[in-house]
Amino acid sequence: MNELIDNDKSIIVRTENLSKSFLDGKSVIKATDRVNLTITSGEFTAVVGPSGSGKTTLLNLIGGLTSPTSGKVFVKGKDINQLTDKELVNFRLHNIGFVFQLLNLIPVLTVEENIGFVMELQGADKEQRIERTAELLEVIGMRDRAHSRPSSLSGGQKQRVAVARALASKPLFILADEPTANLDTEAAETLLNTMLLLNEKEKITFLFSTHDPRVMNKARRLITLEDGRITKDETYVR
Amino acid sequence: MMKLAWLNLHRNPSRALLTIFSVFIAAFFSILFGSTKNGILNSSIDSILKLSGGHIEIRSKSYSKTRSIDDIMYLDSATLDSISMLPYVKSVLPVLQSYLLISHSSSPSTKAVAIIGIDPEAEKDRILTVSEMVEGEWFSKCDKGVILGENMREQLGLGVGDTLAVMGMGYHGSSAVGLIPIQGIARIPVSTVDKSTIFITLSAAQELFQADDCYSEIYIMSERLDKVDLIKSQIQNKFSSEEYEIRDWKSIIEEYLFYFRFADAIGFIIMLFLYILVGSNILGTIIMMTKERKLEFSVLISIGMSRNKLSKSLFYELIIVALLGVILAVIITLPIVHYFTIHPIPLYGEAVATLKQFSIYSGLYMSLDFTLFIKQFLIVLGICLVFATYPIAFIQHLKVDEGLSKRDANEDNL
Ligand SMILES: Nc1ncnc2c1ncn2[C@@H]1O[C@H](COP(=O)(O)OP(=O)(O)O)[C@@H](O)[C@H]1O
Ligand SMILES: [Mg+2]
Repeated sequence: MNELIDNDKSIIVRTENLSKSFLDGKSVIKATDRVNLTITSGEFTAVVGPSGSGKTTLLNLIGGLTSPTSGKVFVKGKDINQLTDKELVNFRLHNIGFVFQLLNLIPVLTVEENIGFVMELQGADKEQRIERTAELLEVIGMRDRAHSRPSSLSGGQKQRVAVARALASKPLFILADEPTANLDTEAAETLLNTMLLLNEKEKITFLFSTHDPRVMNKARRLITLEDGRITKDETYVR
Repeated sequence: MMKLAWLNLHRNPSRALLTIFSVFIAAFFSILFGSTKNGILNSSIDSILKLSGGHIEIRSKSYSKTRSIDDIMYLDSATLDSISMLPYVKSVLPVLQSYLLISHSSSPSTKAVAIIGIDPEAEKDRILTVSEMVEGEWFSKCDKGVILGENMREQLGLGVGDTLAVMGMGYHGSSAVGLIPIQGIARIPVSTVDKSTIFITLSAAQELFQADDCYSEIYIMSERLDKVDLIKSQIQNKFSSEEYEIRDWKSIIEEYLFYFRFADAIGFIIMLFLYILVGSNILGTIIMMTKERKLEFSVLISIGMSRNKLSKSLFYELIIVALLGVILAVIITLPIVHYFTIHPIPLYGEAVATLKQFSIYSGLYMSLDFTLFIKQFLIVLGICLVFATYPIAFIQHLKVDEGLSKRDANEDNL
């Protein structure tokens, strides 16, 4: 049965009774509670829920940044928790793009260098990097800021560069934990439109979390979490 | 990676400067303290050498045993000049000393004294013998009179202008007899010398003992303590070891060596405390600046930068900072130490006053020694290298999810 599912080329992520508990003093917090979830290629999915519902923990588990208390995460059929820390870092480098809420960019590098950074880690040569970086700058509409430092960018611009950086490594999918949380409405909208554009034109898979209703409205699939459990999983045609 | 490390330093200059400063302080004080310690040690050795002779002593083997005027050595002036021309030789102090009976027409008693013939010019380098003249003038080259201490003057009840009748054995069976005027009274800080010794010019002594170009011993002062062995070996080439005894300061001050070791040990302990002090300062700074960057490190590891690569980049950062700090310290301390090798740091207090009285103390000098600079440079750099393991361990054990969480993420880097 499992084999069958994972042989389906379109399945990127699958979790199996995924749980993560934290010890908070004497009480156990089930941040993620027996989550079964499948993400297929090309999805534009938002994980929603109130603060403390377990969005960050779930994304961290899927991204291999946190190890589960029980259950499994398969990425392209591979049980990522079987990997050593070293292998996991390398796995992330080649398969997952990350966009965080805070400090995504390396402040001392220019926009261009930031985008090229993961490619450099991957061992891409300079020409490849320049070509791809130019391409991505075009997509996010920031060609004129190629040589700026992150500190001179607005919050929205920084997040768009972060998306470009995440894309540069040609990952299977992009994980974004509350990418709009620090942005005003307009910037949030621009960022979401950029992500949507990438999703539609380039078939990039996005899994992001948010508690902003306006952002949710753009998602094609909404996974609602409450106390670490999935309470709703709805798909929309927009 | 090297580039990233370098850029990172610019990113938060105040943080980098803080670390550079803590390394700088460490190297700065290590170098200054080390130089002062060596300076004290060297100048104490110097003082003792001035008391006892010089860095190197030459006398004939037989004289060394008998201390008899018949066993003094003959040296032509060319040989003497050749010694003073050796590199690092500061001065050559030829001496002719012996014993005499002295008396004065006003009193029937005679007294046995040591008489030391000295080169008035060269002798100035030995501050001990005479610290200042109480009456009369210090010798000029061809003076025939004697200078004696205040104690001797009291014993004899004589003064400047009085004439002493002297009598003793001369060289090779001759007799040393004559009338010698007292030309000056000096303050002589070493009481045994003050009580029992009179001074005369070398040429007058040689004339009195009928021993032209003869010397009981030659003292040699070196410009630098670490060059004494070199000078000694060159002298050994000139003087046969069968005929001459050549001693250097180490054997001369053997009795004092224990005290030096003791002082050295105390210096070492103070140095150790200093290292612990400055070391913990460096460590504190490194820990602070590592923890501060937890979020940044977490992001980098998340997006696929291996912990080893990140460690390496951070290690480079620290090395650059440490090098800057130490090099800066060397550049700044060099002229300071140089200055204090020439100008003593004045010290005050009773103990110092006593030392001054004995002319042993002339201030606190530092020692400019390049090996010390290199040593402190390496030690402080070594301390930094050891401490660099902290951020490396930090990165190896960093829990990425915790680092990313807003709970303790600092947001100044937004
Ligand atoms: N490292 C941790 N230690 C203890 N409790 C944690 C930790 N991380 C998350 N939690 C708890 O797990 C629950 C889910 O947190 P989180 O995944 O951050 O939720 P969200 O991102 O939806 O706000 C919360 O109750 C939170 O307090
Ligand atoms: Mg969260």
